[in-house]
Amino acid sequence: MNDTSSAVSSYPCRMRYMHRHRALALALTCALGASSARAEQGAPPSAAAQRNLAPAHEGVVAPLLLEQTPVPYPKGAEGDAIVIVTVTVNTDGTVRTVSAQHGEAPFSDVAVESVKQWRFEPATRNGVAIAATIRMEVAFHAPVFREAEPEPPPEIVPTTTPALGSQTTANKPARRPKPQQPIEVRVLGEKRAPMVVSLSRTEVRQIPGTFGDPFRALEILPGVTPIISGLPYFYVRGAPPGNVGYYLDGIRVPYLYHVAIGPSVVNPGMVDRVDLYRGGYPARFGRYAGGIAAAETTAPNVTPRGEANVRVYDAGAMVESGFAGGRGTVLLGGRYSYTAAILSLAVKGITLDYRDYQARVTYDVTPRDQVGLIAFGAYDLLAQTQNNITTIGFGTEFYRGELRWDHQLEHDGTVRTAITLGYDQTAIGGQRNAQDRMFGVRSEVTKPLSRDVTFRAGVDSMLDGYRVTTPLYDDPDNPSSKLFNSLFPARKDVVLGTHAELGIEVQKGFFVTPGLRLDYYISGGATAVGVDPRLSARLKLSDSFSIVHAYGIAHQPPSFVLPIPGLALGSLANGLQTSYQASAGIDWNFAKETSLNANLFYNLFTNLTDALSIPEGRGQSINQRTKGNAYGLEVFLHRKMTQNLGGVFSYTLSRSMRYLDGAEFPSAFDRRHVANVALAYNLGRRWRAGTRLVLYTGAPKRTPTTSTSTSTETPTSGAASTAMVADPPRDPAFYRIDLRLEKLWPMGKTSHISFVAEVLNATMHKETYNGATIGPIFVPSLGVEGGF
Amino acid sequence: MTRQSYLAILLVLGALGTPGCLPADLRPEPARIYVTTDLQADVRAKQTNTGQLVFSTDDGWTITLTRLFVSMGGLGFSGDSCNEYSEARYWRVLDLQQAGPQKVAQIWGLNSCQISYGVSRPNSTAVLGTAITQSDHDFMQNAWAPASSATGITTKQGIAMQVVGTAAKATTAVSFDLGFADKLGWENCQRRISGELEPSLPLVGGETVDVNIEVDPRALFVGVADTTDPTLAPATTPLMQLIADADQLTGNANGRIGVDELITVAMPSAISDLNLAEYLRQKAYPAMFRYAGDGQCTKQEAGRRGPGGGGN
Repeated sequence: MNDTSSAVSSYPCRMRYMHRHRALALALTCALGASSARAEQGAPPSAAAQRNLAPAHEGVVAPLLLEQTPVPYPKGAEGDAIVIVTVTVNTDGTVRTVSAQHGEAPFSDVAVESVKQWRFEPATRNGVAIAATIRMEVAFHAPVFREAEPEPPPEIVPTTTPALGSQTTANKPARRPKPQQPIEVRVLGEKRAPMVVSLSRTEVRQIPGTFGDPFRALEILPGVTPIISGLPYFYVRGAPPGNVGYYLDGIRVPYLYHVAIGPSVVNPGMVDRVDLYRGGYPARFGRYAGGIAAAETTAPNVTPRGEANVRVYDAGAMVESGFAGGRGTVLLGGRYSYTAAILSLAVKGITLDYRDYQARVTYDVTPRDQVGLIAFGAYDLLAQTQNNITTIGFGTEFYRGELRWDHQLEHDGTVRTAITLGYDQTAIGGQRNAQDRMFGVRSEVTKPLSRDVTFRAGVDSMLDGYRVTTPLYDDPDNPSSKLFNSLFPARKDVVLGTHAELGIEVQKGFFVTPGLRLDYYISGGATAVGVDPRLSARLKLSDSFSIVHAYGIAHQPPSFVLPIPGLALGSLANGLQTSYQASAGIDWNFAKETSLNANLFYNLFTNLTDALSIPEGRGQSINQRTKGNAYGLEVFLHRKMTQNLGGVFSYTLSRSMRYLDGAEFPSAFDRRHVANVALAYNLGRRWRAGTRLVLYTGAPKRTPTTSTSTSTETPTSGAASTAMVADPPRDPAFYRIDLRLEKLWPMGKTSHISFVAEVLNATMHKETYNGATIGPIFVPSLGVEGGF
Repeated sequence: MTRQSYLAILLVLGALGTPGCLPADLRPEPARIYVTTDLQADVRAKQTNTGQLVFSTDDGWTITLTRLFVSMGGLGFSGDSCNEYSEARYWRVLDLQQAGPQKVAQIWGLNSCQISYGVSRPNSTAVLGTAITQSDHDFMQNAWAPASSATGITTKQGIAMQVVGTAAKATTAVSFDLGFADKLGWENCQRRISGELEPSLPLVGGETVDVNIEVDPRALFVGVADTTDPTLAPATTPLMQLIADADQLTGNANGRIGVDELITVAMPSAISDLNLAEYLRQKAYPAMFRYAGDGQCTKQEAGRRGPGGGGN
């Protein structure tokens, strides 16, 4: 089944997890992106009034029941009963999922089965149909046998508790019951967090060069500066790759992509959307001084669905279904590459292998409690075989498993408690294996305190056990080995954290979210405390125009320049990295499905580990601390890529500097201008084409120190390196063009097969870094995709 | 719970329980190559009790070296049939007046391998050899000297070798302090066994192979003509007289040899078209290093990064 839900993400869609089984989209409810609201009904509203149940929302109108099949009184049952069901309504008015929140079998079973057949007028936002979740009450009354009586005149039935299921033996047509009125239309989800930019999987599929991977689409977002075209590492508002945190459903993951320019480590079919927090992020995120890339998985779905794709070099699939009468769901996904076999035909002796897996099971223990078990992992290997001896050049793997319990509180609100296990390992040069075994617990609560105030808080703890195996064959005098051992010592790191924030609607259209995060770090005998205040605000000047602000302080332990599993700098004695983040901007939905987001930002970094930016010869570059800043302008013009003509224009104008020993110099990948322009067009007859231009200016050159001074008769001590200058020469600009073409064949009502041809860097342009020519990094992809 | 529920949970737990997939190191035991460096035997034999190196030239000069430092390393392998287990791409600053042979580095490999090595400006992590102080290292790292560049000759910071001494003949005495900034690299090095070049080092697991890189400072003061006929011994000429004349006759006659003085002196045409300073830098300096005494290496191209990191 294709996911055609609205693409807009919101903040914090953690709430959806609390109601997964029912709210297939708490995500969908979140997708409405409106402020919290609740409509309690006493007297039944008219159909027209029903449309205005959530006036505080951004033009949101609730679904309206149009057609209902009779709900029979269960055979063998006795007495009256009330069943409360949560219904998710598709954009075409059909029912996607139904689940009973309250009520006992057999009434709940009958209610669920009956409601599945109902038809609604879908919810709308600003006139556009959207999916939505509502709660409804189905009342059963035990049949009463009466003698025939004259037909009473029609009466207005109190519709808060419509008497469905009533039967009479009178030989007359049964009174057509009034349309079921929802007793509560909850448009959950909260205001989008300022400075978050999101892309749904549905949209990502249409962006050329992403190969359908939501993670890969991050590079199209403003504030993101690429290192090398196609490589999955970025600077975000001046913060190096090691300072960007990656999460999947709140679980930290070490990296997003398979080796080199491979696909993401999670099957895209499992990802609902990816949010990029560039700064000033909510208090629940922490321990990273740069940005946060948080992916949310799709809500558990009891309806069988699946998808698969087969490409020239890999194949992936994902299936999901319900069990136990809809109380449970199970999802399995994965990807397997056959690059090893293919590459061996072209380059003898080289092995490039990657694979990943995902599994998830959820089960509704009670109407208010759901337990879930999720596991995922990835594996990458680059090796060379010569003379029948295989040497690993680079290998990495990570595995995560989490057991979680979601509980819905009595009077609204949710609690999630989870235990997480993880294992990371990387095989690096010299046959060293760096490993990290982790164990974490966390608990998070979200509780509306009033109509205008929502409280969120959490506590968590994480234990990481790091070790590196000793290479068997190594020169003990090798300074690289000594340096490595000093930078990455075996140890156990512990972090204890707590966070809290309030979402406050100070007055209509003015939302403020103050928050605070505290983290206590223990590593290698050293300790440190991070105090992270956060503050964000959104002021709606109209239904379509908002001013947003976000400020915060974020701390992070010293980090390796790139996020590599198992490798974490062990030098907490030198303190935490700190970033001070400030940004202000506007959100403007100026046309249908079209929006403009523009921001000014300023980040200040202290005690930053950014080895990429430190010139060679500056002491222990990997652990060298610097000060730095980054500031600029971000523009994001977005028209839904799923429209007949959709597009994205993303532009970042920025400057990122470092300060060390009195010298000022740009960061290694300070690119003044970064632009992405993507267009997707529906050609008709289910053909869809897209193109994307990626353009960025060159990074600073890091040239070795030379002098044009006259020769001297004897060597003398010279001046310090002159490589650190404020405005060094730069590499030339780079651009590439990506292309995508898709032809879709529907197979029945909900299935489809697509042929997709996609090319990254169709122009095969080469890139220059520090004077050296790289590439061209050219990635073609041909594949067949299918789904149901 | 239903059987379906258990099955679903087992599927997830099974996925979670997947053990690490990275393969263990199953390679056979390699051989160890222990690389050292030492002065040429004749030079070492004449070393004084105070450690000075004294030798005579064919043009009647007696040269006394009071300092001979080199930054050597960048050990690695070359060869298509070689299995590299580890390399030692670091630099070691050595005082060649110290007793030898001195360790340069050790590396591991298997099957048929050829060695590559080099000399270069020491980086901040260079290992200090016997009697080398941090001050010596810092001097080598920061001193300026002429070097080749893509655009010609320039002055670079950091030297790979320093030669300090005096030369005397009759009543004339001059002193010199020569620094060489060019990074040199050699690859596909072969030993000579019974007069024949060994194609590559045959490395057998568990064994140790010793390789010595010989340094002959006398080569700095001899001009050798490039020859196109390998069967003929190349023409040679001693250079110390030319070097001394650069100061005494055409220079400022202050008894100290300067690079700016050497530039003004032309080499004998039978030897080279270069001036004396450039000949010392481009030809004589590299000629001081000899793989396994009489072995042979392929000199890496100038400007190529060469073996190892650091240096320029």
